[in-house]
Amino acid sequence: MAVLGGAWARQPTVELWSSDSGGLYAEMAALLQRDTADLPLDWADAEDGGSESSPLPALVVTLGAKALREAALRAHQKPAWGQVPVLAALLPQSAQRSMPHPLPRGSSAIWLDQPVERWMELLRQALPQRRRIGVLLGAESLAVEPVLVRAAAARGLELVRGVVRSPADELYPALRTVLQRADVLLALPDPQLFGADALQNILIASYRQRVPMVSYSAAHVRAGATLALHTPIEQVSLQVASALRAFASGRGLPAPQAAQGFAVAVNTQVARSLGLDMRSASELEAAVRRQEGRT
Amino acid sequence: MTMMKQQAFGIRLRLWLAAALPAVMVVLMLLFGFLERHSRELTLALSDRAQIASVQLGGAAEFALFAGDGQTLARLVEAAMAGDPQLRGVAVYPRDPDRRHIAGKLSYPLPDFTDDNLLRITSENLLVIHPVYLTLLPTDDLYQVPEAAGRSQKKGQLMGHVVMEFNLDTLKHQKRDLLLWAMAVTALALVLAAVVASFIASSVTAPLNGVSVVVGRIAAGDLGARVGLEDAGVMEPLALGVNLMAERVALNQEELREQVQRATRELRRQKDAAEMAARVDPLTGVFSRRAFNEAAETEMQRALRYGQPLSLIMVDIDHFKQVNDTYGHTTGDSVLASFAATLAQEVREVDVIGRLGGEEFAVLLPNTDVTEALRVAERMRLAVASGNLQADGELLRYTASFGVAAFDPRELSLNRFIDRADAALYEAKRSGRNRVELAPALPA
Repeated sequence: MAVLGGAWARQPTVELWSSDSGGLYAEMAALLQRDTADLPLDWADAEDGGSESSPLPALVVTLGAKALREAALRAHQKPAWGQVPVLAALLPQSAQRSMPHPLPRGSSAIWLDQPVERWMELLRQALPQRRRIGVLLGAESLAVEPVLVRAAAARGLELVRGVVRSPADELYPALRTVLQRADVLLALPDPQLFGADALQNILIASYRQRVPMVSYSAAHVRAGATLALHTPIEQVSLQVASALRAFASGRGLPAPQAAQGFAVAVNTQVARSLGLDMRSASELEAAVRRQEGRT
Repeated sequence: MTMMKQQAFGIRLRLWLAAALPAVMVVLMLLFGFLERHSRELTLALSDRAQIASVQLGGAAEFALFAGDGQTLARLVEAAMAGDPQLRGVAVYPRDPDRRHIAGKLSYPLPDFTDDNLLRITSENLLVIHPVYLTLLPTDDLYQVPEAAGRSQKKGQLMGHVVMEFNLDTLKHQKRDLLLWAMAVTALALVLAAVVASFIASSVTAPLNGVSVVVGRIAAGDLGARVGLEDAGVMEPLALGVNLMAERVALNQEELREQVQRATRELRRQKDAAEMAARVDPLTGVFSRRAFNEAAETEMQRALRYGQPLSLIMVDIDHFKQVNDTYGHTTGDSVLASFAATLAQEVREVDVIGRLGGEEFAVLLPNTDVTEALRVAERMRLAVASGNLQADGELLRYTASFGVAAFDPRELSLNRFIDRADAALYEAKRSGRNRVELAPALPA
């Protein structure tokens, strides 16, 4: 904190590093500007790559895995930058796990991942009859397995696990095995498994087996998944703003955390086709929130 | 007639060629252009169909390839094969080619599989190789790890290849059918052109036929034949010309006939005169020796046939050589003419006088016995002896000797008959001239 002391004469500068200049990242940047407008912070773009002449920022906020990777590399290569904490946002926890370099001291993260408990609660609210939860675990999602097993056991659900170490060869056999036994397919964030190319066939396979798929992405619901529990960027922005507020008030960044906000998406047509009598997305959201508020 | 028909046919054929040839050439050019174009379109259409079929099969096979579902792949391949009669072979090759599924037959070796579509057309078949990729679903995936995001794939994972081989036989059949159809239409057009040409030609050939018929009749000798101008049509000048020509020919023919007749008459007259000249001695006007012999033969036959008497008198002017020598030949000739005239005065119409040579004459007396003949001879002798002839202002007198012979039926030769009379004449000469001697009758 002493390092930052000199900066207090003016407002601390926060550099925003984005993985991409367009799309969701641009929207996210705009949302952040808006949500932090009342904070005593100066935003600086990192388009110059953090030139040598300009003073170091007090904090770097990265959007997406690519930006975080660059920030980590910079901190690793330049000792001065090694003193600037990084707040990583808009990325899955798995992406941070695969970073080659450690982040500077004081860094934190706000992950896109929803807590396993919330998944379980959504399943309970949306598909109470389905007790055998199928899940594919790849390289990026294997880490959640213990948590998953505990959460399932706690609720008395059966967890049908299919482990896919090599998606090209093992994805479909594992999927088939899982779909044969499970009555709901839980797709946890793992782009190696649920990538753009495999997704359609996974959807087809699960649909043929009449097993509804519950996914982590709203896009998957548009493509034919029955249900999604996803993290809207508006919620991420609010969460980041909250962390920045703590930082600006001198309390430092909060500990890395999963997504606090969430949204539910339902493909009613698919649900109807599968003969599911499902509540609307907003009802489900409300139900999950109520349950979380109760605990 | 057949020749005329051939001619008319020839004209029709030429007119038809004149009308049809350019049309045929245009039709053929159009036909080949059309065929070429149509053939390209057919090939293009088949190529399109083949590619669509391969895309369809690829789409249908995607999940089976993803799922490694061999049964479904086999079923898809069989269904595709059964669904298109033009297909020769269908195959789906997963990434592991040992697990391929084939229906029908494929022409090996297949080209190497690539990441792109392949369309190969040979003269025999059309081959399509379509790579099957997993369909990409649009995801705004914030969860993508940097490596994966950096790849930014345009296509999904390659799952295998669809191979379809189409038979071009149907295409060839279609092309052949089209060709046949086009040829039939061309033939029909030609027949139509022939009918039209024939119709047009008949306006020329019909009058020409009429002219030809008339020319044929003229050639055959019917010079009165004329072409009817009302039927001549466009050939009227020709018809007029032919009629004029026929007129001329007829006129010439008439003139020629008259000339020939005149010439013939003249020739006949000349021939008669020549014949007469040969039979009549030009100096004396009596028969020549030949004519006398002919007449004598005839009379001998007649005397034989009817058993009539026939007598012959041989006459010779006495000392005629002296007359010639003394007064010249002109006077001699006058003597001969006068002498013959004297003889003629003493005979009947039926009697025949001939000059046998020089101053020797013969008189044949049909139906006259020897007694009468002697009398006639005597009359002649007297008439000769009493005759006068003016020669060079002088009065010339002369005599003749006569030998008489009677025809004997046993004696069939005129020469012998004459010889006997001649012998009697010789006897008269020998006995002093200016006398008549009778040849002795043949011994019984």
